[in-house]
Amino acid sequence: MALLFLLGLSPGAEEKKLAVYTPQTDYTIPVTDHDGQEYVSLTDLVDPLGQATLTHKGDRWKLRLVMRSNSLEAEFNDGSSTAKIRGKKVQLSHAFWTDGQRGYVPVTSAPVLMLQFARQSASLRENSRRLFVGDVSTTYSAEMPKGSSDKLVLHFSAAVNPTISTEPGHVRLTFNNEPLIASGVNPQSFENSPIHSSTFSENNGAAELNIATTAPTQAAFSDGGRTITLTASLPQVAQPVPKPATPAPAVPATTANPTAPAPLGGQVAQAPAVPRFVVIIDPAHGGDDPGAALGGGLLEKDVNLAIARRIRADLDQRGIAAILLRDGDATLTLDQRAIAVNATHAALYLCVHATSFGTGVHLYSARLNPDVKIATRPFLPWDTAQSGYLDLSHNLEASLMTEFESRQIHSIPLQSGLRPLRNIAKPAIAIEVAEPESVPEGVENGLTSIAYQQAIANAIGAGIANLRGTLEVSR
Amino acid sequence: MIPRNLVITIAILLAALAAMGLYGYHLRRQATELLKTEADVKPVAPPVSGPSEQITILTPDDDHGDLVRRQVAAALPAEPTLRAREIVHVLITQWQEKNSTHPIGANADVKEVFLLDDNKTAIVDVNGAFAEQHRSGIMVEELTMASLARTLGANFRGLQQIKVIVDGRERETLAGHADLTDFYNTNLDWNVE
Repeated sequence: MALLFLLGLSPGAEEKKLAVYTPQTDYTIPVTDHDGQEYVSLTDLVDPLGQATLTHKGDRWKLRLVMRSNSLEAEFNDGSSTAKIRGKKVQLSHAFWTDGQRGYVPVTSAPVLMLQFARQSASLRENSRRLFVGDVSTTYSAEMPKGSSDKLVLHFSAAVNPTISTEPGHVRLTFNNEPLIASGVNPQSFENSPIHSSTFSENNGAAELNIATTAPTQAAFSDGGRTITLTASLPQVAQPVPKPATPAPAVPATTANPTAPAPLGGQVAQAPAVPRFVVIIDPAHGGDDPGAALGGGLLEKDVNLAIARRIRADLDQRGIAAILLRDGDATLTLDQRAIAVNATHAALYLCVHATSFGTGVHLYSARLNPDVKIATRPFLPWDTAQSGYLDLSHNLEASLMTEFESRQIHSIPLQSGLRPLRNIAKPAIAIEVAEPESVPEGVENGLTSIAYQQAIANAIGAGIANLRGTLEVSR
Repeated sequence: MIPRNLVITIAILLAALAAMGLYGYHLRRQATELLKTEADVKPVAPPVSGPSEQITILTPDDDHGDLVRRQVAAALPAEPTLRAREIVHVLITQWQEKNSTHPIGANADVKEVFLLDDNKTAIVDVNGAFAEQHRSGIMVEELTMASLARTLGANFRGLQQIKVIVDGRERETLAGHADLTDFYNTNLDWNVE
């Protein structure tokens, strides 16, 4: 909610999204309404498959997509519903249109386009805006272990990382990045249990499991994220006590845990938030702020987002939850970014930049005035909020450098006044990815090399995983 | 038959009209040239006379990400703010040289330097071209700030911090990265060759 508010979105005017699930990566992109139709940015749609570059001459727009093993070109015409991909004519459901340097294609044509771009069949769930490319889907089963009616065990066919929220009578598991589909009976009911049903639904690029419960419920992850166990806290029944020999003063009946929050509505209490190790990745710039021009029409904001998505995918594989501050072309101010990060219980903050100067990776921790006293809770000065976390930030920097070194990626540790680093009240560093020392053949710009981006994401994922224990203890 | 005197009068009037047209065209071109010249006007360093002296400058090396300490000769005025401005001007001129290791736009320059707080703080006012023509990136922008701060610090004993403003106004970042809302210490930690 805090993020929604900070991004200038109210729950009533939720930004439309399209979720794309592919065998390589899962991502969500913003959806725009145009002439009564839903559209997505062409580069947003295909960029995670490789490195997309969109150029134009007049009304003719050319997309070049460089992927790991091959590359392809496609041609679109502003105002026309006919495109040419890999030399073949492709009919779009509605006309391609452009705005500034971006081209938009209809959401309903996304399966046709992905068939050409990814060479895999794709199916679109139009109502929920979820696009499944290839044979990707995660199924689940829900069961109650014998003899424990207060537990509901959810088994998933692949590791999942849902956002968990609670409200009176419900626990909601929202799957923003998983191709979760309904399986078996839906909704599923459970008798003689405080957890009495589970309902699968999907909407706006996400799937949701709504667990109806009449007791405070906690969630625990196990089996590398493949199992989630929901446990309802059953209210203890007052035990009959021997009648005292002398009359005692009347005492109101209490539950076993006097410190537990009072039940809401007389029946259900709000479950506590599940403590998680979450990494916030901030693809710098975006929207109106393109960042640096990296040559050949490449914008820093797009490269930052591509690298950030790879880092998230790598962390996901390591069982570490990661959130992107922007997962599309949104404009965020530096203050909005800092507020959004500080409002969460994230374990660390990583800001991603790219540059065409130098080689390797530059790592930056906040440069604070040496006279600044270490800020202590509960109130932190905005300009020096990072002061109490600098040691951990330096540890993180060192851990990442070790991983870069082991992959023969040149890295330099530096300090910077770059914002919002000094405003972040968590371990925080920024990375600036420069070109590799040797550019692979056939790649115009080293920054677009998928292998290079993946190596950087792997190093960062490993560096964070190595430091996870230290960071968790420090929280 | 048109009278002869009328023909002569019309011919003279047409000739005068053509001459005035040519003169008007000439004035218009002159005005355009003048406007162009005014747009290109750079702040001119104060005329400096007298013997030159050695100053220390720390110029960035973008390829290696460090600062290189050098001694250059410059004629400097005695008045501290003018002296500081001249030092920054000399530094920027070094960046603008051919084969510079930290190139910057040809029109970039310093407008004023203000010394405050018993000369412990310098406010460096650069022109719009300095920021607008600056290359974007954390490293290149930080190198510019480090070079300015360390160079002024090397030549002004007691100077502790600098702040850069653009065309007399505070700006959020230099070219999208380096924070211009904050002060930069003159002894900030950066590798110096």
